[in-house]
Amino acid sequence: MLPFTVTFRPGNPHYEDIVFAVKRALATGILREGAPFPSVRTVSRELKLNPNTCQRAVSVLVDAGILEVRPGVGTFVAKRVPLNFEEALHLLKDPVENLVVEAKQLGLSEDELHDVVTHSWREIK
Amino acid sequence: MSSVVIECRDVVKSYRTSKWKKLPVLTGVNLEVSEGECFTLLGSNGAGKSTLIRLLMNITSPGTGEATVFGRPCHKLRSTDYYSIGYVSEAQEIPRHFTIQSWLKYIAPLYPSWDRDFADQLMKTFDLDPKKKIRNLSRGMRMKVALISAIAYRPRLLLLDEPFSGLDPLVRDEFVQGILEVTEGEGWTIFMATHDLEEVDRLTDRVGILEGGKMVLNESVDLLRSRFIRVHISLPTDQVARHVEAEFPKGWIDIQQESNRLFLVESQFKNRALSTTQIKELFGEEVRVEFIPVSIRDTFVSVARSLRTGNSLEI
Repeated sequence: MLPFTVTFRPGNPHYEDIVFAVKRALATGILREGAPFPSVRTVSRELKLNPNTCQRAVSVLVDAGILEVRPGVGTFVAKRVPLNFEEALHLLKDPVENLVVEAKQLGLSEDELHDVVTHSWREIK
Repeated sequence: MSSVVIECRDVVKSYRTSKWKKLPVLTGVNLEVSEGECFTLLGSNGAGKSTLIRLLMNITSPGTGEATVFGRPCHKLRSTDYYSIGYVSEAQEIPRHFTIQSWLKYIAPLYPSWDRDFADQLMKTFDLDPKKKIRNLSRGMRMKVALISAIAYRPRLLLLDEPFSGLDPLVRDEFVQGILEVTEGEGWTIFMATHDLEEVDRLTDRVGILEGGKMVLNESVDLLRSRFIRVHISLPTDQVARHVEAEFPKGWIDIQQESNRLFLVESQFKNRALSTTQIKELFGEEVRVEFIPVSIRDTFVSVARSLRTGNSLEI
C-alpha cells in the first residue's frame, strides 16, 4: 500500500496527479517528515503506471525539496520546505483561475466562493 | 539522448487482392520510437496497425520506404535480433497438444537469455497451472502463456498487437502487470496497437493515431491530455444556426449542434480564461461555457469521428 492515494483526473498529466497526491498526504499529515518514500518501482507496480511517469513525479518532488534521495539508502520525505509567497502564488495561479471561472459559470457570487474556500480550508487541518 | 529503437520513413505497403488490384494499407508512415518509451498505436479497424507491426516483425513482406528495428532494416532482421524482441498478437496460436510447462520448455532453448526463474514467477503471478494442456485453457489463460513466452527472455523490445481484446478485466490487470515486468530490465521499449485505451492510458508515453494508412497524430500523452478539452456552449437564442462552420476557430473538432447548444472538442486548449474569451468574442457575453476534461479514449473518438466526416482537420 502506498502512503498516499492518487486520483487520476482526466485531462491532467498522471505525474501531476501523483505530485498533488503526495503534497496532499503531507498537508493532511498522512505522510510525515523523515518517513521513507516508496521506490519508483513500487509506485509503478502499485498504480500500474509507466515507471517513466513515476520517475518524473519523484523528480518533481525532489526538485521541490519535498523528497530527498539518500544514495544507497532510499528516498525519504525531506523536511517540509515552505514555499515563499510568490512561489506559492505561481503554483496556485492555474487552479485558482479555474476555480473562479467555474464559480462564475455556476453563478456563484464572490462571497459565496469565499465561503466555499473557507469551508474547504477548515476541512483540511 | 536515448537511442531510436523503431524508425519508419515513408513506409508504404499494399496487399495484392487480385492479379491487377492492389489494396493500399500503409500510405506513407513516419514514426520514431525511442528506447525507454511506451508507444501506443491507435486507429480504427483496418487502419493498418497490425500490418505495421507485422512489417516490423518481418512477418509480412516489406513495402517501400524504410522501416528499421534496432537500426536494422526489418526485412533483414536475423534470428539473433529476435532474441531481444518479444511479440504477442491476439491471433497467436500455440500448438494445442503441449502443456504449459512443456511448451515453455520447448521454446526456452531458442532464447539464450531465457530466465527460468522469471518464467516460473510469471506463471505464479498469472495463476497458471503448468501441467494444464494448452487446448484446455481459456482465451485469457492462453494469452497469458503467450505473454510469458514473449517476455521470459527479457526482450528489449516488446511488440503487442491487440493484447487485450477479449480478455476480462481481471486478466487485463494481470496482463498490464506482466507488461510492466518488462520495464524492470535495462533499456526496454514497448510498442503496442490496441483499442483498449483505458488499459494503456497509464502505461503510455506517446500515442500515435494511424488513419487511412498515415499517422495523423503522434505526440506525448501529457501534451495530448492538456490540449484537448470538451466544451459545451449554451447560447441564449438559436444563434448557432447563424454561424457557419467556416467561422469556427480552427482548433475546434467534432462539432455537434443541438438547437441553441454547441458541443465540441477544443484541440488547441491553453486555459479556460483564454477559451472563454474567444467564445464570448464569437457569440457574445450571454453565452454559458462548460469545460469537461476528456480522457485519451474520448480524444481518440473525437479525432477519429472528425476524420471520418471528412472535416478538414487541424490537429
